[in-house]
Amino acid sequence: MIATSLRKQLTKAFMLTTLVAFALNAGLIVAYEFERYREEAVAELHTQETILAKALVPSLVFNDPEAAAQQLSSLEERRDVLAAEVFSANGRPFAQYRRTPLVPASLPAQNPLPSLGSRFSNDELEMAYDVFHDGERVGTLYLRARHDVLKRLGSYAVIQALVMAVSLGLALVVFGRVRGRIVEPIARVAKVAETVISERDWKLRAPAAETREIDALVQAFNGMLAEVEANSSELRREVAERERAEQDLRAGDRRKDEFLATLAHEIRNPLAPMMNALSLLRREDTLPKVRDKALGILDRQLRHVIRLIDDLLDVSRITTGKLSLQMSNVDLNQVLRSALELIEPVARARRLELEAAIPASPCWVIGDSARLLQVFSNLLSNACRYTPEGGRIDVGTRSDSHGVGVDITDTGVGIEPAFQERVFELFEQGDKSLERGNTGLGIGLTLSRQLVLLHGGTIRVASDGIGRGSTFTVELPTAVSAPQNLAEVPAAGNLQSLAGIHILVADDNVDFAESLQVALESAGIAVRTVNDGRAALAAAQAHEPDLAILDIGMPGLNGYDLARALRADAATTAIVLFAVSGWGQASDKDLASQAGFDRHFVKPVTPETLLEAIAEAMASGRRPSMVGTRET
Amino acid sequence: MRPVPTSWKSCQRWLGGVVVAVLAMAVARAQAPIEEAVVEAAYLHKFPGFVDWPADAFKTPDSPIVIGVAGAHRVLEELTKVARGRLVLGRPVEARAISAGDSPHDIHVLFIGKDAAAEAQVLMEEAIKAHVLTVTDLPAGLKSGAVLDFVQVDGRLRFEASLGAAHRADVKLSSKLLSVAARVVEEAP
Repeated sequence: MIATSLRKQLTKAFMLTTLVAFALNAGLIVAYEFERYREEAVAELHTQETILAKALVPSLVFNDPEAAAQQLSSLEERRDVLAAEVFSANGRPFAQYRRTPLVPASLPAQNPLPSLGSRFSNDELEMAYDVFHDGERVGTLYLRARHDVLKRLGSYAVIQALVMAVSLGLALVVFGRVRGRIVEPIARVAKVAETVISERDWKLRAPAAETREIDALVQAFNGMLAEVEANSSELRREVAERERAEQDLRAGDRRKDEFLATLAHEIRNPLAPMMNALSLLRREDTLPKVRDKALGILDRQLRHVIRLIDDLLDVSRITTGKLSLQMSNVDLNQVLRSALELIEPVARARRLELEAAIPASPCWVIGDSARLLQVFSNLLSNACRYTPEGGRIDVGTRSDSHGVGVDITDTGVGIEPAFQERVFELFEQGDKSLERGNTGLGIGLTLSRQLVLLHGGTIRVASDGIGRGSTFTVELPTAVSAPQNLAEVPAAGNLQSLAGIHILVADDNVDFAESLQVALESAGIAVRTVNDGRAALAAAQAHEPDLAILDIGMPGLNGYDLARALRADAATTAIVLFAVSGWGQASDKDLASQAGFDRHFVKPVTPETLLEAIAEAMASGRRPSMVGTRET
Repeated sequence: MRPVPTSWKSCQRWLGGVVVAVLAMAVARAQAPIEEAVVEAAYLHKFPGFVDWPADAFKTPDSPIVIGVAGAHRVLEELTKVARGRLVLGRPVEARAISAGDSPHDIHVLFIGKDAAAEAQVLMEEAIKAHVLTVTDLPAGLKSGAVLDFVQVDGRLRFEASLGAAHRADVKLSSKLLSVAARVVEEAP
C-alpha cells in the first residue's frame, strides 16, 4: 500500500498529542513551581531578616557592635545564610557575620543593591532591609543566603519526566489495546476484502470485532459478502439450470426433428403400395383377383396409417392426462386371443412361427379391454416387425396370487443392453440401420408402457443383445374376484342389421362422403350424400332422414349452424346428429354439443365405429346422450 | 553613629592645608571622639523608647515625655536639638533644666550630669519618689541609686543598669535595652 497504514497514523497522532500535552503540563507546572519556590525563599529570608532587624535595634541605637555581632551569630542555626552584615544609618559597616571565612566581606560595598529589596540569582538570594526605630532609620541589615530553588526544580523536573515516562508507557499499553480493538478488525476487513477481490472467494468472512461500531461495520461487510455470494451462486445455478434446460430443449428438438423425419417416412411408406393399388384398380383390364389384392393392400395400408395417428393422439392424451380408461373386469386371456387373431395374418405373411399357450380358463383383471388389446397387439406387432422371416414368436402367461404376467418372446434383432431402458421413451428407436424396411415410429412402446402403468402394471424388456432376440414382459394385478357379468370384447363385424334406415352424409371431402356411403350401404342403410351445408339442410328438410352425419367445416353453411338450423325446424329436430370433424379438442366437442349434435367423432373414424354408434342410436329409440369413443 | 559634623570637617581641611596627606589620613582614621555630651543627649533621647512607665505617668496619649537635665547644659542643649521634631513612642520629647528644689513630679527622665554631683543625692531621692527614670553620669551613679549610669568602656560611651533601682522607680527596662547595657546589676553594690 502506498498510503500510510491506519495503525501508523493513529500511533503517530496519539504519541504527538500525548507528548505535547505532557510537555505543556510539565512546563507550566515547573514554571509555577519555580515562581512559588522563589517566593517562598524570599518570604522566608524576609521573615528571618525582619526578626533579626528588630533584635538589632538596641545595638544600633546604643552603638553596640558586639551585641549586634552576637545577634547575627544566631544565624548559625540557618545553614543557608552565607553572610549577614549590619550597616549603621550612615552606611558604615557596623557588624557582620560570615558562615565561612571564604565568603568575601562587605558585599554591598562591592556590589551594592540598587534599592532596598532582594536580588535573586541562580543559587543565591540577597536581601537588604532598613532597620527602623521610632520611625527613624537606624541602620540596614543585609543578608545573603544560598537557595536550592534550582535544585528542587531539577528534582521536580526529574520526577515530572519519570511520571511522564511511566504515564506514557501506561498510555501506550492502553492505547495498544484500544488500537487492537479498532485497527485490527479494520485491518482484517481490509485483508479479507483484498483476498476476496484477488481470489474471487465470496465465502470468506471477516471475524467479529469487540467494539460495537467496528463490529457493525464488520457485520455489514460480511452481510454484503453473503449477499454477493448468494447472488453469484444463484446466478451460477440459474445459468447451469438454463444450460441444462437448453440441452434438454435441444435434445427434445433433435428428437422431434428425427421423429418428424420418421413420421414423414412412415406416412409416405404406405402411400407407395396404395398408389400402386389405385393404379391397378383404375385399369379396366385388371383381373378380379388382382383387384381384390389391390383392395386388400389399400385396406391394410390405410389401417396402418390410421393406427399411427391414433397412437400419436393416444400418447398425446396420456401425456396431457386427458386419457381416461373405461375400467371393468376383463378376461386377459380373451384379450390375448383377440390380439393374436389380429396379428396372425401379419405373422403368416412374414412366415413367422407364432406359438401361444393361452389357458382356456379366464384370467380376470381390472382394466380397459380395448386399451389392453392395444398394448398386446402393439407388442406382437413389434415382435413381428423386428423378427426376420422364419423367426419365432412365443406368447406365454403365468399367474400367481399377486398378478398375471405375459411374456412375448421373439427371435428377432434383439436390443443392446444400453438401449433397453430407452426403448420405452417417446420417439426412441433402435439402430436406425435395422429400421430400414421395418417401419416404426417409436410410439408403440411408449404408448404400451403408459397404458400398462395406467392399469397399475409394469412392462419391461430383456434381451441378450443384438441378434439374440428379446422378451417383453407385461405384469398386471389380477382382479380380486370374478365378475358377475361378462364384459364383451368388441369384435369387428358383429353388428345388428341396420337395413331400412335413412342416413344423410354431408362432407365437402367427396372421397370421404362417398367411401362412407359405400360402407353404410353395405350394411343395408339408405344413404344420401351432399357436399355442402346448404345442400345438407335442403336434403334434410326434403327427405327427413333418421340420422345425419355432418362435417363441421363445410362451404355455404358450417356444421354448427347446420345443426342449429335442423334443431330449430320442427320437421328435422328429431334427426339424430353425428359430427365428424378433424377438430378434436374439448372445446370443439363443447361447441358441437351446444350446436345440437348428439355425438362427436374425430377423423379418421372407421365405418365400423360409425355403424356401431348408429346401431346404438337406433336401438335406444331416442337420441343418445353425448358420449362417445373418440371425444376429447 | 552620628555623622561627622561638617564644622569638624572644615576644620580638618583648614588644619591639613599644609599637612602631609599621610598625617591627614591618620587623623581621619583615628576617628576623633565626638563630644560626649552629644552622645549622651542622643542616648537620653533614645532611652524612653525602651522603658515602660506606669499607666498614670502620662496624662494623655500624646503627652510629651519630659526629660529633666541637671548639671549638663551641653547635654540639655544637644537634647533639645535632637528632640526637635522627633517622636518617641508616639510622643514628643521635651527637655528641661532641673536644679535642686525643682519638683521632679512632672518629669519622666532625670539626667544628673557631672556638674550637679553635689546636688545629686537630693535630686535622686525626689526622683525616686516620683517614679522617674534616673540617669547619671557620675563615678558611682548606680550606687547613688540611679537606674542607668553612663560609663566609658574602651573609649566608647556605654551605660550600666540597676534592676533594683528600676523596680524602686516603678519603671520597666526592656530586655532589648538590657542586652546592650555594659553591665546590669540587681542591686547597686
